[in-house]
Amino acid sequence: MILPFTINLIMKRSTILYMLLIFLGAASCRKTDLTVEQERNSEIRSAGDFIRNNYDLSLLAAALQQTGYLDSLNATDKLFTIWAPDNNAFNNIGIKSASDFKAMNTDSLRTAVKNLIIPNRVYITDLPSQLDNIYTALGGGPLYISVVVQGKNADAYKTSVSGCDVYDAPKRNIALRNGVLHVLQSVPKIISSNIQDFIAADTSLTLFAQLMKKTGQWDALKTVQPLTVYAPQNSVFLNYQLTADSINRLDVKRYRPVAFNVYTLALQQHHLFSNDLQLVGGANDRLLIDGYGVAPAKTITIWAPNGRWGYHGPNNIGMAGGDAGKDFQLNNGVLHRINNIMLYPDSLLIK
Amino acid sequence: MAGAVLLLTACRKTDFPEVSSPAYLRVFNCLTYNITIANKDAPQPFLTMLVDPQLDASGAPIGAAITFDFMDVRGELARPYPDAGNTALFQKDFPGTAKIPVGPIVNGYDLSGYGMISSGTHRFMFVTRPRSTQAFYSLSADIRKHILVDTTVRLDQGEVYTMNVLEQSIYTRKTGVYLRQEQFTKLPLSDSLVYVNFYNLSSEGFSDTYNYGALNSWFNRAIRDTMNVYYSLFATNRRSINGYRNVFTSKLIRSQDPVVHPYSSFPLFPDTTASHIYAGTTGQVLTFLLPGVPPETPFGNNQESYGLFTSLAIGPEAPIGVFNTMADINSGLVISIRSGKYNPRSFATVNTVEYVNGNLYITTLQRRYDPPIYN
Repeated sequence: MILPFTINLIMKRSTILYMLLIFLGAASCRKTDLTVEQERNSEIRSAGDFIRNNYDLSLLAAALQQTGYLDSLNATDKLFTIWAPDNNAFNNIGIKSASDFKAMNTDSLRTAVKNLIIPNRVYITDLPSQLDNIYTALGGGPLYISVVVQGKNADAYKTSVSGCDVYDAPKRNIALRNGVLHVLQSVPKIISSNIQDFIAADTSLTLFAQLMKKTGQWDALKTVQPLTVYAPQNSVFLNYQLTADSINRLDVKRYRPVAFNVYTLALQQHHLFSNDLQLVGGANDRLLIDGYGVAPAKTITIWAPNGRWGYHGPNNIGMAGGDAGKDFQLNNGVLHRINNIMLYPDSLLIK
Repeated sequence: MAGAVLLLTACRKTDFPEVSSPAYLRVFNCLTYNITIANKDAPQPFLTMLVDPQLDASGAPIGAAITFDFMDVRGELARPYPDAGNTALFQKDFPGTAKIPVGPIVNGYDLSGYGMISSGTHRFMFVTRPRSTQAFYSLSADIRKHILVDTTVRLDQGEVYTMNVLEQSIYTRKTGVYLRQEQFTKLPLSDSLVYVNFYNLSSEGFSDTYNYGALNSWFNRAIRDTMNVYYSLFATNRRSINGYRNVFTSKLIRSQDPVVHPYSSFPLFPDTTASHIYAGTTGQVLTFLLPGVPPETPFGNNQESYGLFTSLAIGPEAPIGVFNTMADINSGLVISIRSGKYNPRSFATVNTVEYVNGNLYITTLQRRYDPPIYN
């Protein structure tokens, strides 16, 4: 608007100046088209491709590939939040190579991998900073996501998914075109079954099942909710010369009840993952069962009523097979397979 | 012409909310976080306050006359002026940082830390909500139904109220509302004395149950249900002022009965050698002791006394106490600020100290003072 007006003024005053201006205008005007003709590929960094191309997530990619779900994660009309266990997490539960998935039932595997995905894009800051926020995953299983206020800022808060810790930055809040990905340190085990059925189906827990029946806790494993159960494997009982026969011959009344109900935390209503003690940050935090203080973590510590640790039981109680034994999230609670008994029954005889 | 257009577009219209026949209200959430493995799934003390809520057929709140969201536990110091310059989302009290009409100056007391609410009978509802930044009404209906307190209170016109959300008993874990009708606007309080009154609003059974070990190994946080309170005053360089060492103030008895406790006072200018315009940097220590324990007893802050002793240190010149409020000269029990031709000039305040379940909270109220004159 202003320019022609100015040029008019100049014309009146000096033709030479006007011509100079035309010349300068012509000389200066070099318009380069900087836009790239090639259409930009909008498909980059889709969730599926990101997992496929990441060496650290190759086992997850293999599981998704086998169930035919990997390409679905490239969808353009949906958003996903993926809790992605890395290869180390799979190795820890005994899955070393992609071929190990071949032996598995594809339908169960599909449910398992879909349980790692929740709809919408959820960054760590979007999660309420409290324990056990329940999110429904695409596989239907509830995910218990805990965020505790520990760390520099809301992005760095300590986070856990059904007992599995989320890595710190930069292995969390990885933005994708159609969602976000957070890397997990272990693999969530979400199984749609009640505790009783799970134990009955597990051939490594037959002696534990027998002990539960003998001590009158078996029915509660189906009805009480929520429960947390610590189940020693068969080999543990056999190490202590407790066989099917000797468990059958137990005279339960001769022992204080805590000798056998410590495994179910006396059927108290708790929903405890193996990292919850660490998340609540209670170094002195214990659950009291008949005077015995139980600190339930990956390594279980039990204090006798006299305050001594490891006094009426072994001092090395942990998860059987490490990550493989921990945090089976079942319909009515959590079950952990453990590698030792919790209390020595013969220390708890009623005299 | 262009100027006129600019003038028209530049006009920012602010709607100032009007509250007819108001009462003045300040609300604190005195609950505390205590997450253990046994209670980890229980609702947290992160609240939404609803005044006169509307509920849908299923009982979930869908609206309210006042919705005060993101109400976190209260801070150690409730300031005498509104926090509206702050944009923090999580609130430490009502009115907090929310854009809520606040009180005027009533009988020389600045009520700008109190929200205005129409007088009359109101239904108050406190709902526990997830500790997130998601607004209350965008939460799913079943989450909005976690109603912690639902009560009806009457607020009279022109009266000043303090409302606390308290745990009533550690045996029942029942939570309730405590509404105290403040009296300070009606009392003849001298402007050369600093006033403090004390309340122990702990739950029934707290002092019998909780101790050093149960409070995350913090020393001297749990006190007995009956205590004596003494004060000591300090001047520049933490100099103890003669005549103001361990002066008996009042007896503190645990009670959730909402009556105003009597105010105790100390002089605004205790130091006879100082000017009587500016009190200098000051400090106050309030010592809480079991009756019978002499106030000279040298308790250590970091040595557990099992409920016999605790202390509250306020201001830059106070020696370190068990609880410390790091006030500067503009805040604390003595407020020094530019006023009239003086820079600074010291003013006395009216304060309330509340002990609730292992925490000490101060609420400060300032008086009206003259605006500064710049020469």
